[in-house]
Amino acid sequence: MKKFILLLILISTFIGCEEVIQVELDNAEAQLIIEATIAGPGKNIVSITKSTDFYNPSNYENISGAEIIVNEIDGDSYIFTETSPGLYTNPNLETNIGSLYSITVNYDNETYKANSYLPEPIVVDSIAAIGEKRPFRDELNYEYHVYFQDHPDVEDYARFKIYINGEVKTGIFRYDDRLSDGNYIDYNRIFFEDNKDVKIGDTVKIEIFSIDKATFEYFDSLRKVLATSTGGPFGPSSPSNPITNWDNGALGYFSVYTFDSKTVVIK
Amino acid sequence: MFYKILVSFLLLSIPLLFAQQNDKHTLSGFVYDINSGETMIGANIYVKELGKGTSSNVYGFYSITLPNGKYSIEVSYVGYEKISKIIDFNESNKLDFNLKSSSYSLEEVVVVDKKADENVKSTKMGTIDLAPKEIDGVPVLLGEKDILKTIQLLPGISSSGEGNSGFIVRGGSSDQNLVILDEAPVYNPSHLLGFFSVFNSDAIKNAKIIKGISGAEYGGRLSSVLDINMKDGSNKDYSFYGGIGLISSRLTVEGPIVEDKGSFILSGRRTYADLFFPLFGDEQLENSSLYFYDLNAKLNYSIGESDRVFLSAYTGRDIFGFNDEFGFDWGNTTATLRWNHIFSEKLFSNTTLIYSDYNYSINVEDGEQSTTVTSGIKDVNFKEDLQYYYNSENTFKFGLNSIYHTFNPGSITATGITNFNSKKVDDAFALESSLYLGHEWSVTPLLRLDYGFRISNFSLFGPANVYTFSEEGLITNKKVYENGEIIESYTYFEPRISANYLLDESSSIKLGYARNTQNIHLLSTSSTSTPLDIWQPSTAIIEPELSDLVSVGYFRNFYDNKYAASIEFYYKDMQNLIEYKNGADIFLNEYIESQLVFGNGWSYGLELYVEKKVGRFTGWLSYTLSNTERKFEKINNGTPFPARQDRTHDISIVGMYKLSDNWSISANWVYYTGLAATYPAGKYEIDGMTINLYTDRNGQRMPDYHRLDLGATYFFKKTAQQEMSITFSIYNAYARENAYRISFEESEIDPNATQAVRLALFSIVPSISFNFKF
Repeated sequence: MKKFILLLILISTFIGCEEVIQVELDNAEAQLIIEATIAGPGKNIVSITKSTDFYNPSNYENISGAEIIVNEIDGDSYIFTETSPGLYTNPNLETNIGSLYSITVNYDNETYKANSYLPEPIVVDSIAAIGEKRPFRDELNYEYHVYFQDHPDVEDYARFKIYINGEVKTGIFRYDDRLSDGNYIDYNRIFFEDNKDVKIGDTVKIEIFSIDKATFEYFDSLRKVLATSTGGPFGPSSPSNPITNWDNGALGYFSVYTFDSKTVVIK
Repeated sequence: MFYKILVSFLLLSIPLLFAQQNDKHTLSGFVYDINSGETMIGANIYVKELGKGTSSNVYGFYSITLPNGKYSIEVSYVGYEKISKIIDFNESNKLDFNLKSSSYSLEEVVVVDKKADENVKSTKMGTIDLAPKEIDGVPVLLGEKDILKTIQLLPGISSSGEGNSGFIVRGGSSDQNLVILDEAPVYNPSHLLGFFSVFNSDAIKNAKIIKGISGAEYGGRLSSVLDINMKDGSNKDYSFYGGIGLISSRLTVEGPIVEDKGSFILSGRRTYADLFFPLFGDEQLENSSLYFYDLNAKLNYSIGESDRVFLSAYTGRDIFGFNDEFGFDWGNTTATLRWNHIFSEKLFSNTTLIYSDYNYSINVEDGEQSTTVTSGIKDVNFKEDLQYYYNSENTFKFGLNSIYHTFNPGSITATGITNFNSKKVDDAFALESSLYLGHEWSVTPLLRLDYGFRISNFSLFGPANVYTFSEEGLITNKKVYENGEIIESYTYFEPRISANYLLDESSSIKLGYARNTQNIHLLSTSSTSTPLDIWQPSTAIIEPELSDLVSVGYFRNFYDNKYAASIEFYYKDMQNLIEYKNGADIFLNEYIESQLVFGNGWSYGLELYVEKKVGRFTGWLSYTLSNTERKFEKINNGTPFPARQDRTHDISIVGMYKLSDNWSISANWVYYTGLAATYPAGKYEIDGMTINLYTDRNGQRMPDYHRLDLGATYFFKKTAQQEMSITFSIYNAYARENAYRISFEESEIDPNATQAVRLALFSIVPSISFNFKF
């Protein structure tokens, strides 16, 4: 599949011609974006911003003065306080695997609610670089492989972030085990959309976020409207906003997650 | 009430079929091309004294019953010399006519004949016949003649995208077109992601597109029927013809099996970009493949005077492979076995057995693991069609059809150390049956009616697990059906009627209505068709798609039928259309019904068409003004939105000119309103990434599309038996950068800014091809 996509890209760059054009766009009223991510002390962050016009610079208004409470169902409640404009946090909230959390945000006489579940974590087992022959080249081409174990009989969802020499790769790399439940997974063979080329000496850092189904659906649908994704010529016909777990028209998502990371230098 | 009257009328008319008439006699037989012995479809048989006539059917058969007497009968076909004969109708006769092509002489002889006013006089609406010969000159992308692209130049039909062979008829989606090759449905009529169609024009005799108001003999799709007939092959002489182009080469051989009795044709086409791979001297590339091919074969044999059998087959496949590590291939296979039988000089029968298969397969191999994904659809189809030529005023058509569908929604087979688990989404089984009756009736010399109905039934069978879902798409119930148990069954009555009222010799008004249903639906997540799209049957959740189409038209010919013109208005209402939910996952999903939403749509428009059929200059102008919308409760907050198929203005101008015996030139220009598109109405930030904000569905328009193509052909030699020519063509002659896609992304220069980037697929694309026949 990966090579097929490469071929498509090859065909479209061979005959295609890209040019920046000026397009007349509607400007929607600024909308509320709530990105709430909970992963324990230091990683409990709620950010509230507003959207802006497409042709404006990418600076977003931070929203102050919201009241935020996170509840662990059958557990404690945590009030989040604003630490810098639009950023809210709580230093005490410890997450428990298997727990369900709810969040309530009050802002401007509106209430926004969402739930999230903390799943069993997936951990990175190892990272390797494997050389492969490519057409028209004598030297080997290296790709990174990330190995991890999927939990049998559990619906696993994850999201990856990849840093090459400290720089985060653009794109959304998400995983679900609908077709691979219980297997020992090689990232290289399942993430077709990522170009995994690396060179000897590169530092590769992998972060894996174990997330619940709602967060997965959010990122899965977000992929299609990401402004940094160049997309293929066969992209979706009618993009729409990602599926959010907020109940009251806010954009963004609420996610409780666990986190694992590994770094290697390619030798 | 209307149905009851219709049915009782039809029942009453049946005894008429078998009544004896001694004061009338019948002339029947076939119309052939004198050079090749090919039967002629739609040749006109005209009775001069009575000013009426009939035309040959799709097998070249005609039958005409007249009161006793002597009549002069004229047989004609555009581009052929007319035959006139005095026939004595005091007894029934069999007579075959052999027409001679006139297209090898430049002088304008005979060609203006009674057949030329067919468009005015027949009840057919929104129907256009095309023979590859007539459209030979139209310039095309990379020199590959393509019937699917040429029909996009007709009114009411538009392209589904740049260079794409997918087409849209009167606001319907491309899966609502029934594409049949010798009666076998072709489920994916495109190669190489839509840039080429699977129809090798060398193997095609005739194509007919019906934009919704079809006869009762067709059914099963909402928007149109594209009925393509393969050549039978000459039963006179052997001939070889073909061509060498930039993309592919073609070769066809045809000839008699037994002279005047039977013939065969074998036609192949293959692209050859990959044949050059070894030249690069790279081992991996040498083990790679990238091509498609088409193979058409047909045999026919006449057994006595009343029986003829045909066996036709098509297979074609796209094959992509990289170094034995990765393979992706897809294609159609069809086979048709037909038996024509003449029960009497008035009753013509065709019995058909059809097989059709479409599938794709993806294979990934690397040392430790092997993964294969497949999906497809398979049909076995039985058809019986009868035509009863009661008299020159009445022709009846009736028959039945039964298709057994097997759907393979997808399976994955994994072996070795693998990431994937083997999985198969259960096959689905369905029987699609129909009965039809149609009556073509000349009520008065000025009024003709063609009406009928079709009763269709679609039944989905077990074994199957059937689920119901909640609003959120969660499973609420599971029911297990045994082998052969009916899960769901839909029966529809589909009336069709068209009427033609002749205002004078050269103008008429036509009126038509048709209802169509569709029980197999193509699920596609992207804007263009891909080989991975899945055919899905109607189920308890997915109800049959339904359309009602009304149309009214004024048809007029000018200057002795040298010019044909028409104006048609249509309104089409569509129900139970299918779209995906946001974020739908269709790949190997056994709960696919939970990923869909349902709604309605409508389309209305005006279609203008002016054609010059004969002379040194031929061509046409087509203009469509239309509006197509969709309304889904769960999309766009239930507000109607412009459909992807919506084209406000759509213009095509096609001209072909014979400069001399050797040179002919051609040009076409197309223009259409940009596609309805969803553009961002803002942006925001998530996890450091810039995200586009969307509001209304399809609220904006892509830039308008227009393009000029030019072509020129030089004939080294041109006779009935031999031909040699070279064709030059230029696609997109003024290098218009038409937007294929507009993406909204972060600027590479300034990460703080976002911009719109237009991708244009083809700039000027010149090509050259060489064609021969001997």
